[in-house]
Amino acid sequence: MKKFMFIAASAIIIVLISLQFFRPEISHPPVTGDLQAPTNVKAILVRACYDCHSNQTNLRWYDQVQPVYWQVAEHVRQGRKGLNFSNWDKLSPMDRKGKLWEAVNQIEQGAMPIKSYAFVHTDAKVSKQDLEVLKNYLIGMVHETPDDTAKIHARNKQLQAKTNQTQQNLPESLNGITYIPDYNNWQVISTSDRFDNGTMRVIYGNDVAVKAVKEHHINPWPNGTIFAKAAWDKLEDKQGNVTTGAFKQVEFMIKDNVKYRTTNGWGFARFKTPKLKPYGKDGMFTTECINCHKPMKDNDFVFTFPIKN
Amino acid sequence: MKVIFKILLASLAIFSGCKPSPGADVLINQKASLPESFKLSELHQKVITSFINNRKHTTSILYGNNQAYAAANGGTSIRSSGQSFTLVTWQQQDDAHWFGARIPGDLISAETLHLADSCSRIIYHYQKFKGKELAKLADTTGNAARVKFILSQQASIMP
Ligand code: HEC
Repeated sequence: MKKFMFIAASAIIIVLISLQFFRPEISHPPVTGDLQAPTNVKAILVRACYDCHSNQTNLRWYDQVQPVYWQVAEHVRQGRKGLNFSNWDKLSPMDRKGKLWEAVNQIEQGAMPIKSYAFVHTDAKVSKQDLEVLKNYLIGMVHETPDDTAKIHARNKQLQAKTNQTQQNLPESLNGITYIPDYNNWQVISTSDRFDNGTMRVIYGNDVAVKAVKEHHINPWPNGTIFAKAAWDKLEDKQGNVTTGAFKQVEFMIKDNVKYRTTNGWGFARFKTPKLKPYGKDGMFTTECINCHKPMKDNDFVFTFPIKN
Repeated sequence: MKVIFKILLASLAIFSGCKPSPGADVLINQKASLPESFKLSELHQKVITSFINNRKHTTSILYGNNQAYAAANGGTSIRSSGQSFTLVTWQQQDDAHWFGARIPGDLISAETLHLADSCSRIIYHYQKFKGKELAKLADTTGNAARVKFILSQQASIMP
């Protein structure tokens, strides 16, 4: 018996040692333009996020032991793909802002930094005070300008274009979802005042969704549920009245846990501007949808708190 | 054996950070929901526009029946009998799922407006309902201004 244990233990040790020679590579591409932010804000992000969301990955010895290293390398690869603070210059100012709000939301919802990582790297935890620092920084970036001429102009331009617009074929998203023109006949399940990006939204639900809300069957939502979220610029006047400006986009979420199995049971689509331009470069745009919706995994990936009408 | 199994399961749940999914009573926006008696969804009106008041922190949706919707979207201000509007207003609240968003909170009011014909004149039937239960309001002061306000709203741009 003792002999058997000895052999088994040695075998495991040998396997573990040989595993150390199989190493996925974590590259260190150049930092083209690092995130610019106040020192205290940046310090938090560097400490808690840079191992996976920058090219300045700084792994400790215990990260480099196999088989842990495989997972670490995969996290770094995926993490950099969705958000890389080292290539901050590659993003438009609007996208930078968007990513920062998303980042802080991922922290607030407990999704980032990844739990298994924070468990080992205790210094990476974001405390309540840290989170307040980050939030205050973002709030400080919100500027709502009354009578914004650029926004008024954008709305007027769309209005003029509308009169000579001809109905074309229905556009299709890059993952094969056809635009659903009928959504403006649906019920409203909520609205959203997005002061983070200066838009306002109406969230519509089809009959299946409305029925599910009435019957309290919304976690998970039934197959056939469809949401449409339409977004406009916020147009504010000097009295604080905010009305809808230019039409930005409409987004759909279609529930079908078989057809859309690979995207958490939801088909995602986004069509931009009144021209309904399909969003993204290729079908992989859905990764972005999924990464952003991931903190809502306990709510069937849905952010909206529906209203009963 | 059973006990050991249960302990194992429990510890597994703890270590995997597993927690029960929130139920519908938590996820449905109860404060902002309309009383069933109001039957808004049975009117099948469409959203004409939505707006926010940044001073009062309220958010509203203006609905209209097909005639009202068509008139608002035609860009004309032609008022004819048969047009029906519903305006629902909420206090805003922070969105617990998204730092950076405000969503409807306590229901403040619903207002209905029907345009009818009488001796080739248009009559405006306006009614206000207030509070969580949308109780009918008898007071009619300020009604004319509200009618004007509702009719002055422009439709949101839709593709
Ligand atoms: C251990 C590696 C790791 C750490 C540390 C980490 N992340 Fe992530 N992050 C990931 C991975 C992997 C993804 C891809 C989606 C997923 O698996 O959840 C991701 C996704 C994201 C996304 C979504 C990106 C997209 O595609 O739109 C955001 C935002 C984000 N992380 C923010 C943060 C912030 C903020 C921190 C620091 C507080 C942080 N992350 C720390 C690994 C990490």
